[in-house]
Amino acid sequence: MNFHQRNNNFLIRENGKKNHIFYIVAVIFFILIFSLPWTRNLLFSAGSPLWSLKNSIVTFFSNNISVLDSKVNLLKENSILKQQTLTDNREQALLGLLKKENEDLKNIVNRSNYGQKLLLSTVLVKPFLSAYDTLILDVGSVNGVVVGNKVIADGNTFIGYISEVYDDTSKVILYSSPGEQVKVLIGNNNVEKNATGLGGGNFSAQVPKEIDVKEGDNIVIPSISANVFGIVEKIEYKETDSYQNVLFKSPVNISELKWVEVLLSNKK
Amino acid sequence: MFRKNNLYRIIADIFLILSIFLLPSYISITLIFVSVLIFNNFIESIFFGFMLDMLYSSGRIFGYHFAYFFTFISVIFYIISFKIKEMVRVS
Repeated sequence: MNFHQRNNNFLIRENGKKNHIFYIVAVIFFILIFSLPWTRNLLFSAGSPLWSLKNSIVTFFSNNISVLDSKVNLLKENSILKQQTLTDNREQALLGLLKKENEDLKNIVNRSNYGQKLLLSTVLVKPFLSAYDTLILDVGSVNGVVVGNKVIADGNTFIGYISEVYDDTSKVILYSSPGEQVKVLIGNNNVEKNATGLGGGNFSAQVPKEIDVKEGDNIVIPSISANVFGIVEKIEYKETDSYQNVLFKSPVNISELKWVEVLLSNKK
Repeated sequence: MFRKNNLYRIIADIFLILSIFLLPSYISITLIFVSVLIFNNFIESIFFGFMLDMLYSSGRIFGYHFAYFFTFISVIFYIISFKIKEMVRVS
């Protein structure tokens, strides 16, 4: 005698559909929740100690990895670095004199460097960790940071601007992010042109062929303070073109950045 | 068996959340893809992709205005995982 067997597959399929809908609704719910400013603030606050811990571990290992190097290599490196330090000390002395003279001259005409407060901050996340060309800093609205504040590295190199601010963290978009445009001064005549970010600290700018620019020239951002925005690496042009493509790179190694300064707005 | 699978899934979720904060994003997205293939209906991968965008997005990717690149990639992974699993099952 044949007995009609209960088809359990049909029941499982029904439950599977309900589970699908539940999961999709749950994901949409979480996405909407995390789109709100206060939850994003929470996300960044939760990430801040994790990023700090990661940086501490990386710093510990990178500082101690040299014990594995051979004595001969270390002695060679030591000698090269000593020579370099002597050269740098001499240049530093001259730079100090020039800087003082520059400030004195500006004081005479009643203008000072930046005219704004600089806030030192630690870089929590660099582009190596982030796929986008962004930095995350450990300063936020509690420190007076607002969207639009410029960010400086190595004392005088503009690298980006603040795009998002949270309570104690903020996100920086680098000028070298692909597609970002920034006004720069190129050549001995300081011709103002738009430079386009190419990623990884690289930029390109199209200038007329008549503009005198060569490899090694400095590119600056229009600012009252002396700054080096980039150094020309290569110039591309065809004989038939009326424009030349200037490729330049930021002097700052973004992947090795540990600290930057945020140019805070003046409060009137 | 059901409880063991759920436990592995929860561990994978925790590990992926930590990887989003601590590891480079290309490693996180690879781990998300692997998890989508290993686990059945791993829809939380879309949320993890969204988290990557929320934390690190600049609003542009490869020079184009698009702030949800990793969310988009995660949705693609999720959809094609069904096809891949079907092909593997058939072969």
